[in-house]
Amino acid sequence: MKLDLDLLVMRLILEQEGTVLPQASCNEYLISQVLLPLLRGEPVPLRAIDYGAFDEDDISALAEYNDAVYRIAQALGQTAERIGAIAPVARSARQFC
Amino acid sequence: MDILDDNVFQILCTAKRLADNGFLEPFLERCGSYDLGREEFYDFAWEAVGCVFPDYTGYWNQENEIDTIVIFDPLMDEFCRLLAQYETACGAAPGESDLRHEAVTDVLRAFDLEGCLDGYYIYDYDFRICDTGHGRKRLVFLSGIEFCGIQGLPGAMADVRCTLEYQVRRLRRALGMEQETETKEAA
Repeated sequence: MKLDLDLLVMRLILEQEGTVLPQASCNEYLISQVLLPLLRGEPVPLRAIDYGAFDEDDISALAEYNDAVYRIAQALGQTAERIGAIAPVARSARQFC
Repeated sequence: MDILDDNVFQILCTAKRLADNGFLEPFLERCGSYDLGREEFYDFAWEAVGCVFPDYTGYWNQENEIDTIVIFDPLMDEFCRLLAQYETACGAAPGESDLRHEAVTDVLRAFDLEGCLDGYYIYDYDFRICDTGHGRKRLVFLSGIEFCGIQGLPGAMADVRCTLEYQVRRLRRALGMEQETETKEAA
């Protein structure tokens, strides 16, 4: 059986009470055209940005959202590390899936 | 997963402020190819100042660790020329008119970075407009270590330029020159 540990960890964390991915309450344009491409490591040239599509206040909201996403990613990473560190145990009886 | 560092948001804020203040075209011409995710704010800020005042010079005094920005601009020359013309026209002593005092105070106020600092940073500025007969008129901005790393600096420069433009328009109106221009355009 193949087990996607990354997916499992994400699901486990999301199931925990009070742990949810933050809702994006900031400017959609900034998220889709600036934040996500940068997080994916894609270049965002300054001339490609539409400066009329957002306000100055939206930038500080975007910075806060970036911090929130990072905290979640950190928690996911730590949990993945903990699970990865658990030593495998062989079953005592043969079992077929 | 990497976090986006403060540079990204500082650069974005500065770019937005310049765009909103009417400097979008020179800004894109000078910095349009910069990659938002890879640029250091300090280097970017020097370029951003150049978008507002293309004819500026930066000096670094290593011994005292002081940055100095000296701005020359035809706008400064016109501002000083109109001030002198106004004082002659209204019979005020050179350098002594109320309008000069108001205009200079207005420009100096635009230099104020207090809202952008943590309260401990030391900087100073000077506004050399007296006609000494030597060289061009200039704005001098004395500063401290890594001065261009202060996020508000390029925006303050934009405010200085907008204030100068406003004062030039005001002086032209006071001298009746705006009306002349409008009449010519109408004709």
